[in-house]
Amino acid sequence: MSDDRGGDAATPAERRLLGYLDDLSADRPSPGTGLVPAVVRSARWQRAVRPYALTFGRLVGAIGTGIRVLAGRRRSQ
Amino acid sequence: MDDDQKLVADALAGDLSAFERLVERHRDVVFRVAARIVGREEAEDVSQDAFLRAFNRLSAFRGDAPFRVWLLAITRNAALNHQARRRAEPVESVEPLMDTVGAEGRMPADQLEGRERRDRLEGKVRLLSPSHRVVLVLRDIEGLSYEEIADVTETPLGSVKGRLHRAREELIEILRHNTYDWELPA
Repeated sequence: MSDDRGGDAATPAERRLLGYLDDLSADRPSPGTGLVPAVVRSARWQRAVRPYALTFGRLVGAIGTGIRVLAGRRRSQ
Repeated sequence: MDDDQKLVADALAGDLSAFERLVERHRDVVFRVAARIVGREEAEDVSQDAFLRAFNRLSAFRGDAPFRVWLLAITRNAALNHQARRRAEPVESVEPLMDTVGAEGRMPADQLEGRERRDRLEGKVRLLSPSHRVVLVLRDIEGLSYEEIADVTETPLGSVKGRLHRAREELIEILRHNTYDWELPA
């Protein structure tokens, strides 16, 4: 992190603005205690369903390919 | 290999507790950046979205830049997408101030005034155009270096500096047209 935020202010108005923004910077909101468990729960769930989703996607792809092949054969007959 | 890179490697090997450690280490900065971009009310949803995006793309993390920078790039995208989906103009809220008065009715006048000014300024920052808001938040509020901001925003270094200058000008103009007197010199 850089700590020279005020050094690149070009005008008096910018310097005043950076003073106000420093105040805002000192006010550090933090998330509720539920964030980490919620993220981990979703990640666990997503990891569990990912193999099934991939299998389903491959299955749909294979069916699509089959339909295209059959449709191509009919057209050529 | 730093701690974050080790945790990423462990998470990729299937250790979910390593990913949990990563979330714990970076939840505050992710939440703060999200809060400055979309507002505190929606920052938790955006943070969760950002962490899950990161989880699903963990294999794409190459370690060229610090993990925090990579994660903040994802947070920025999640926040801007969230805002674009909402498509509503940001509205300056006075609720945080009212809550404060209710909870701490005996707060000294100067502290109360400082709190009011911060709440107002936070609302004004959210009126900036998205690209200006992101650069100003990362530099002037979170204190990232220009190089880190260039990585987060995938923008050349020179453009970051120019964009920051324009962001400050835009914010000064917004404050000058505000009824609250910000005492900004001409």
